[in-house]
Amino acid sequence: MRFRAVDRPAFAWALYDWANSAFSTTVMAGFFPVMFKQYWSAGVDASASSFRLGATSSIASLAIAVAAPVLGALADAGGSRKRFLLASAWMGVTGTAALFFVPAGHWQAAAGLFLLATLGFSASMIFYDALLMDVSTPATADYVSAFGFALGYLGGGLLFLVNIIMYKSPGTFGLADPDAAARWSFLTVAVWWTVFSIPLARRVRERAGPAGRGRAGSARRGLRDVVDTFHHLRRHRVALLFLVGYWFYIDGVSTIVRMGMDYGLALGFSAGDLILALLLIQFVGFPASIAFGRIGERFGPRAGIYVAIVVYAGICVWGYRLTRPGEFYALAVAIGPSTRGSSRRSGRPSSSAITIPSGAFRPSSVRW
Amino acid sequence: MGWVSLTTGNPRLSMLALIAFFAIGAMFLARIPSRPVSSAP
Repeated sequence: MRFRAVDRPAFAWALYDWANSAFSTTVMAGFFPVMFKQYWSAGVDASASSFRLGATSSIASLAIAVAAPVLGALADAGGSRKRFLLASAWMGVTGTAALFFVPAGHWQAAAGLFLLATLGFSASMIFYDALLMDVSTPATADYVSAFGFALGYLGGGLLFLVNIIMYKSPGTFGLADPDAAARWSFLTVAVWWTVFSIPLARRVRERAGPAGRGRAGSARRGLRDVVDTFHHLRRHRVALLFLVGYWFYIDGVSTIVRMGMDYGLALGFSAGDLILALLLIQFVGFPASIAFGRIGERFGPRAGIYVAIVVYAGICVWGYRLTRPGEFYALAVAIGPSTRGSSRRSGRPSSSAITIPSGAFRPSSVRW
Repeated sequence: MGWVSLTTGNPRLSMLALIAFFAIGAMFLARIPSRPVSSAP
């Protein structure tokens, strides 16, 4: 794909990926699992703290699975995508920043704030995806979307790199210890997320909702769309098979992303080694994203998902037998392509590749 | 993963348990026809 300039609204839209990717790398996959186990659950059995983290992540996933269709339908019907996006982002930013203030041992407060932040993050992505059509044309949508992915890798990786330097050398930044550095990293994510969301708030103009309906009317229409969608979904076996199959696949991917760090700590690896492996995933993931896109173009989007599923099954077996830190780095190189490459690049095109009669089904109102 | 780890006391088994998710996902996706057409009337 050749580089070409995007216009200012599209750039402002893509910059939101740069903004919120800091949450998925630094907080969700990186420092939150470490702090949850070693700081907020200090002195607790490793299996018990893993269960607490797993339960928190599961609640977040279930809440989003239930809320996403409603949120998606509201966004489609109401012409309030940007408003919803900014409200969701604010929820995520607030939850992330508040983690800084949670003292050691208070795992319930940390879990609650992480839940709030994850819900805000996930909800904002629904509206972010929906806004793509407001900043692009059908001819440019794929390029603008890929541009957003690229900025996400760069932004998330860049702040994560700074946070790792803080964690490895806290004294350089005037911080007492790695725990203090991790807590400050949550604040840096909140500031980063806020600052780089401003261009979207100022520059992106979304298409107006249906005239004369008002916000309450749009909300009612959105909820009716959800009911209609599920009513039609039962008659569309292909769409249902895809949604259920993709949900299992992507939930497995999300679990590895959210629990990988906790798993490594439970096996006795050091947090420093694991964090560096995570950075490796980030940088391997960028070229891998392009490679998975090519697989999708050449062999169809389903082939990309199948390749990822086979790689992931192998990763699970390999992870089961893991014994040395060196193996963890090698595993990170394998996880990078499949995690970053497959989960977003092949997922969105796949859903649109299913043939669904126009008007019978609203794909954007079903987002898991 | 957390539940398997807690109930078995072996975190390694929790990693193996994840294979079930990928297997079930692949099973559903495999049932989609190569050139999908809607089953709607």
